[in-house]
Amino acid sequence: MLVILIYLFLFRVVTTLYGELRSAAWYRDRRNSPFVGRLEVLTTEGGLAKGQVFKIGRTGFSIGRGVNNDVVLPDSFASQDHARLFYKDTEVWLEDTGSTNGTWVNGERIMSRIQLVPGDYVKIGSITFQYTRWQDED
Amino acid sequence: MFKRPVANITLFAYPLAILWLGLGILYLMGKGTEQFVWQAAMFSLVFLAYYLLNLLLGYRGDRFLLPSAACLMAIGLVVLARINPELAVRQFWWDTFGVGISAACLWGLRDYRRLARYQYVWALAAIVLLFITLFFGITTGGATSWFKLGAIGIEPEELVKVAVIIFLANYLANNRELLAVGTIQVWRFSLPEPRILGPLAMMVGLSLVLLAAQKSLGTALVFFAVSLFMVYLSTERGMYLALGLPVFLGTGFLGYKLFSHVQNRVEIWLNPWQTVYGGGSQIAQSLFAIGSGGLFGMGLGRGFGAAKIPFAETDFIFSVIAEEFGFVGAVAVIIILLLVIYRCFDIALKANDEFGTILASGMGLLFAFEALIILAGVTKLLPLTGLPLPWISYGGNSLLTHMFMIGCLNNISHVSQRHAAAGRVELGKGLAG
Amino acid sequence: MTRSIKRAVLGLTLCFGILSLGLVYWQLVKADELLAKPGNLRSVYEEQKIWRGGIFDRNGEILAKSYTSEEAGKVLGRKIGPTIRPPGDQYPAQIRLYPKGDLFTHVVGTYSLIYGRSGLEDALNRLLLGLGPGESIQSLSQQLVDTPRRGNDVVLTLDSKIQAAAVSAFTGKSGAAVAVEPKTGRVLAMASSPTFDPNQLDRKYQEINAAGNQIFLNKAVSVTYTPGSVMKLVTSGGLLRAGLDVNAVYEDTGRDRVEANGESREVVDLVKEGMGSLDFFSALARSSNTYFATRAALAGDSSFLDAARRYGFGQQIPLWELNAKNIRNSSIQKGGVPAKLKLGELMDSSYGQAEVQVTPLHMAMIGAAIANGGSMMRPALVEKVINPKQEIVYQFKPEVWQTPLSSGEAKLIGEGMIDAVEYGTAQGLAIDGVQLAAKTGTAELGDPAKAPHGWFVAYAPAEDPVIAVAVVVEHGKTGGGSAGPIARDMILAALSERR
Repeated sequence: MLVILIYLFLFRVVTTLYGELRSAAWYRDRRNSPFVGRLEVLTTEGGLAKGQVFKIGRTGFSIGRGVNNDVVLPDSFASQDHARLFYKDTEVWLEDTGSTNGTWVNGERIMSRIQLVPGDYVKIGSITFQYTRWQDED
Repeated sequence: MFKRPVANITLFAYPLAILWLGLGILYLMGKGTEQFVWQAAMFSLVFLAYYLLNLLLGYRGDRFLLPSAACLMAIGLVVLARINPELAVRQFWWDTFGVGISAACLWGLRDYRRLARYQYVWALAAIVLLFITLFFGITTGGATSWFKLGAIGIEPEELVKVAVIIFLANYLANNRELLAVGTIQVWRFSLPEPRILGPLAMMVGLSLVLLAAQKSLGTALVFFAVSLFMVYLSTERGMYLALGLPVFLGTGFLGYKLFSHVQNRVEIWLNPWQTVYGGGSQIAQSLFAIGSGGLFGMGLGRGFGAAKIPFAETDFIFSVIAEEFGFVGAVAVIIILLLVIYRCFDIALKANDEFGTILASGMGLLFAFEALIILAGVTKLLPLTGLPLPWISYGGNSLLTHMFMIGCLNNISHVSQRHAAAGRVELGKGLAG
Repeated sequence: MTRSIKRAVLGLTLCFGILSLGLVYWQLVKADELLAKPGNLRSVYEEQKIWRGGIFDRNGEILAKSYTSEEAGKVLGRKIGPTIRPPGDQYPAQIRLYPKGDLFTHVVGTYSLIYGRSGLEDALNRLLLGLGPGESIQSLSQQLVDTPRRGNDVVLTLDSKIQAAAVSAFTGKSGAAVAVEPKTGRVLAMASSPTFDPNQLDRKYQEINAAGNQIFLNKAVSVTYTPGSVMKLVTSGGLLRAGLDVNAVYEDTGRDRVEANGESREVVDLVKEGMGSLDFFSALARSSNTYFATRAALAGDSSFLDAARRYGFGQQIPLWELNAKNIRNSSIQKGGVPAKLKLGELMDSSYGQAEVQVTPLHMAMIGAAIANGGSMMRPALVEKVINPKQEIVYQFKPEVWQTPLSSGEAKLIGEGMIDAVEYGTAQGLAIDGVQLAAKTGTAELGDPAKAPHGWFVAYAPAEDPVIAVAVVVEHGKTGGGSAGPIARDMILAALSERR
């Protein structure tokens, strides 16, 4: 009986490890995709549509109120050049590029560049995004 | 990613389930004492508190290491409770304390790199500890390996293991290029300068000589193998292993010639049946126990080995496991040990500095060699040298230092993962705004 | 570093794999072999699930029996200390007691949870446990139904009175004694000295072991001795078969020389001045080495060696009741009977020196064969086996093993043995009203510092023998002086019972 329990433990470890391996494989697959992640609009006070999705490519993009940005936020709380998303070392990173009201992740203002983890909530101005992994929708 | 804590708690639940089930079976056989109930409860509480602490403080490191070690501890506690309840009562204290030490090392240390600061302090501490034992130690079973501090027996060689590994890791992290490349040409090999090699050779040599003087041959063997492989791992030069082999053989031969009890051990190893009531009884009884286990074992509490094998609670605990849990159980224990070792090397590969990599792999090597040497001893693959089986055997010193190392490894893993997400805020702390 | 770490992990995994193979080897391949090794008491523990049968002598006296602790306390008249129990055992504790103390230690043997089994306790283990054919101890451990089982009782051919006479006569001496019933081969007594109380084995093992002197060996079957002059009983068989004129007179001058096949060899008698004129009977009675050595040399090695073979030398004695590995063979040379002997070897062997070795049991059987008109019966220790339902499942039947002598030859040798009691080396050992036939032996050991072994082979009454005895006393000097009185006590015990 005890032995069965020990093997159950081992089975649990193996399945968990297998899950980790699969996500690692997923990360590898992602490398071949032109997109590495997505930002979905969760809440907004006008301007952007709720549920709108921004695809994050390998080159990343800049976010801000200014029209020179890749993603232009029609939001009065956002700065001209607010933040930048970029892709490095297989991870997606977020960096504040000198905003006034700050860039917030999961309720805390970020002081330096940070790596995004799927599920993170990103708040820029009055708009909240959720970062998720890229999945080929077609 | 939010699934993580759920996955964690099942991993943490298994060791506790093994412990309670095992104690339950023993209780039904009339072998439990009431003391076990609250002791096991306390162990479970401390263990779960550790889990909650990790959850609260946002632990991001390896998830398998501690639960695996805890499984081994749980198996050890059940088997000890079956062999000798009195010792199990004491071991419960050590195990509970060990989990605490592991937590303290993980969270109190903040960053394992602080260990690197006092390179020569560690070296000095190791040597001094060994000298103290040599002069004030108590001799048991031919070896002078422990002394008494108050009521508690202290076995410094266990502490020395940690000190030496930390020293070596730091030293190798600083000098690995020089050791790997070498500046002096000797025939076809390039050797490093004596200035570089000196401290290493001195430290390892001195530890070995002191251990040999105490006649702790098993520990000396582990030391030698661990330091040799640590050098190999960090330099990637097979030459060091090739140099180590003749040194090992030479020392072994010298030891055989010099110490009568080494000759004795070898003779017993070659033919334990001849002295089945005398010197060979340990290994013979161990093999009898292992043999009667068969595929599925006699069942917990039904084996004879626990009563028949000398030192069943320490060196030979694996034989008792093999008899009562059979081949499947013994192999399960081996797999868990291997799992712990794999996690060490996984942490080593993921560590973000060389000190971390070498430290983690050094600890992995230590666990591996300890387990291999004692398990090979009880199954008559090698001559027997007494060593505790990590986390399972009875013994406070060994357990505490091993749990300290688990804490270190978790720290390395945690710091590395945190570093990968520098400045990250913690998961699930709430929504923005 | 990644590469070397991966290599190290691979190497370590390999090592653990080898370790697992080691487990496969011990747990699956070698498991049965380990179970059978001495010192492994697991099967002994398993046997505790069966109430072991008792061992009784021919008159029903208890020699070995299993008791509960209360019963055992009453039998021994003292409190039984904590007994060694198999771990996790729910069966009633069996305590094996030997009411006769040290009388039957070697032949009945011992049964200990610490030191294992010996003697009949070992060899008849399956019978005593009542195990059916194909049923093994290991299969018992798988039986979960705990129906109480009982083993068989075994009744032996041994006689406590004769055994007691032998053991008490042996006090202070070491050696062995065997008594057999000549007509049937029943072993009446089998003693080995020194002995110890088997009831004390577990408690006083160290003490008993420290006594040394092969105390755990059953010297009656497991030790061979140089026979000395008792070998002349075998030599006589060869000489008579070769057509010796028993009445031809030989002048014994104390020394003689034989030349044959270009070899020359001198033989010296124990009596320096010689024994004068000897015929076959007086030569046997007074035990003249020169007579037998020269006659054997003249008859040739083949007649001597053939006789030895007919008497069972070099062959396993078929005493199935004891473990065959514990029964040693008697031999002429190098553990067997050679095809040829050199002149010197033949002459020395003819009076039981050189390399000749015999077991006390075999010597008793030789005496019995002479007493039984030349037929050597298969020796037997078990009279009958009774199962728990009181049915007799085995009953001993006498059978002939060897026929070394014709009845005429046996009668001639018997006359020489009677003469030995009348006027020869066994003089003074005669029993009133009963004709004793005997042969003494003094076996030189090649080491002048060690006193020779004393032998005595006898049977009585000569006209209708009921007992044949062989006794050897280690370093007892002359056979008549040391072994003779022991044999006489045993015969007296046997005869007193008969009256």
